[in-house]
Amino acid sequence: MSIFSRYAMDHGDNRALDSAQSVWSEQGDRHHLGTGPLLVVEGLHTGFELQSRTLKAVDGVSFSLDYGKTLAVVGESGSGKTVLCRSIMGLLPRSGVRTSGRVVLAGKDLNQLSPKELHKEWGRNVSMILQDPMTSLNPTVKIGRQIAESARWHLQLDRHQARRRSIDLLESVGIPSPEAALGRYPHQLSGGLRQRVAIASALACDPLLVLADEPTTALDVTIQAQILNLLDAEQAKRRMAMILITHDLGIVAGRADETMVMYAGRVVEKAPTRKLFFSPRMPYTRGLFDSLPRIHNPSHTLLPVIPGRPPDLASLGEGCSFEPRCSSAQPRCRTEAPPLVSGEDPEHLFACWYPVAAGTSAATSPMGAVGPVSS
Amino acid sequence: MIDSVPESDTVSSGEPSPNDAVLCVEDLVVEFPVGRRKLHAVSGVTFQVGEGETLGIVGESGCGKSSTGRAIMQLPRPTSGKVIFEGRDLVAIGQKDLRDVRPRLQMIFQDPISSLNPRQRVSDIVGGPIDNHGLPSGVSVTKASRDDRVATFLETVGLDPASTMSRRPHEFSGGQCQRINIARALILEPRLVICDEPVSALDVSIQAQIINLLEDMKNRYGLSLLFISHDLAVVKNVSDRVAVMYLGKLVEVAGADEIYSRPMHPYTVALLAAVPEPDPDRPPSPEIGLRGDLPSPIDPPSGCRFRTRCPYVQDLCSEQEPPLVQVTPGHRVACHFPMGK
Repeated sequence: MSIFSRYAMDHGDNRALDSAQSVWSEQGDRHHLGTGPLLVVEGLHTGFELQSRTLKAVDGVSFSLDYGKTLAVVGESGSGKTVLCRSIMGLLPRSGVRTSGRVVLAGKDLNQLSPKELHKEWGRNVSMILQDPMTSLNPTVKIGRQIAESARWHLQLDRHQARRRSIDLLESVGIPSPEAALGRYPHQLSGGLRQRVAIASALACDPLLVLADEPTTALDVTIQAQILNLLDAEQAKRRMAMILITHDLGIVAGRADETMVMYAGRVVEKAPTRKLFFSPRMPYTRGLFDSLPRIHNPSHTLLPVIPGRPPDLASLGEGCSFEPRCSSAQPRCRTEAPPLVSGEDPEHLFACWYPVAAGTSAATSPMGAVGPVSS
Repeated sequence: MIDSVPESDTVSSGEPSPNDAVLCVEDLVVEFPVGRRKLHAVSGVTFQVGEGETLGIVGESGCGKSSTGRAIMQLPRPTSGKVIFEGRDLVAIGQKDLRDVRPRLQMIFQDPISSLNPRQRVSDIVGGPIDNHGLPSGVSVTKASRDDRVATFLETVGLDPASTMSRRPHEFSGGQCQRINIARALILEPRLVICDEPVSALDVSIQAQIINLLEDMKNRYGLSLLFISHDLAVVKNVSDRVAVMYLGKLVEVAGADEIYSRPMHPYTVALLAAVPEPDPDRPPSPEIGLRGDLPSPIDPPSGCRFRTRCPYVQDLCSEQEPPLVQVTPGHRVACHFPMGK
């Protein structure tokens, strides 16, 4: 517990520092002091109450994220990655949703905060970048006001300071002629520029943690590369931590320090990104890698596929949720859910009774034309 | 400037000659009115799809790839140009003749769920084309022969006919709905299927299943495919030849392996560089040379349409539009200064 109080102290000190100095000196020294875990999630469960049963969207997720690091959360739709993100933020409605577990950000348990206290965290310490910038920006409010809003509220800037900060932010996210852009509405910008504005507004108060939920899925590839590079640069400059939620393994490689694979609401594998890519242990992760169409494949390559489809979260069985689709499933998998544990390598966690042998590279495996072809 | 190879010696490269192509698109133009102005969705596109060939069309959103696909289907009819299918120009023929052609020209859409009528049962969705057009063999349809055929096709696309026939689309997942769409498109044994982003809405593990299914169907029924997608890796995996579109124009056309190993148009090069590769040892795409965003198709740039974003732009590019010329056999590029040349 002592580490948490220490970070809380550091954090408090920083706040004092912030208000003492010019608050909007771009980065301040605020993030220099943090080392060790910034975010600790412990036993997070989120369930949606249906008429007769509970749909377990997030089922016992625990992890921690250090200051300034990037964690990628990879999974298919319905794997719980977005609900995990919203549970961390505390953005889910209170009725019909059951949440338990701890989400400790810089020493504060967000799940224990009142809505009012939570508002003070949003934008200030933790902010979010959503998939579709057209829906995450308010279409009726000019861009300048949308960006400045959180800075004015959290940092008590006056209008001129807020305006200057907005211009600085827009400039740093690469918006051409930022002063003119302040007076525009979101619909007047292209998708890529809108996402840059959304990033600027997420960064407005220099948060400690940014949750990026599929930030480039709605964008074209050339724009996607620009936005990801921008996020990388801003993250390095501001030393903020990031959780990058995506379904695309391609954008994770080389960008995330650690990668966590989710399946049916659970974390099934978590490892430093290189290790996960070069030696996936969970058959699901391995299957995902194998089924990716690669650009080096000759035309008409038959892709090895994972048969079947993800399970219905409302009727999960006792055992491993991947068991029905797994080629190496054994009787034990049906009756007992494997815990997330490490093998020989303490950094590499996986939830599987019969893991893929270590060292069988997926990232470089020759994608032959052979492989199981389902249905 | 480049020396263009004379048009006549095309054939050696696998590029179909107009005679043995299933589909010839000539100078296709699609424009939509926007107030008093015009949005130039497709501006003079020419290509062929050979018998049994898969032609991939790639490009970013707004490049006109879907408009091209729909214009071939005559949904809606293009502004001008020719779409020659089975020796007939679909743009010139009337609705009634078009109806005769439709059984052999089918389409699969991006969103598998919304392209199915939610109120119909699967047997009616997949059997619908038979009810409208009869059996491809011309034999008169009976209830039994219809249901038989529906069941056969559901089975070929990997669905269990007994349990699916009487259910409705909402009871299926996205991947299963796409299988139903494929069964519906194939039941009349078409020659050409236009696939407009058929796997973009699907999850990674399902995407591979559908790609493999399309390949399997293509081989089994001898189909020609026009495969439209924004995903270069997917296109590479299914196509024999690839055409790259930018702002309503074809900028490069070549064999799939050729275009990926020796791209010549700066836009193709940038597109390929931007593809995220799941390989941690390959550094994430460096700042690629593309500046800014796609210009508005209402007011496209003069000369080369790519010039506003091209890192190698020269004066000539704004003055003269580069024609799509053959640079090496089967490899066409629309650029005044193609790369690697």
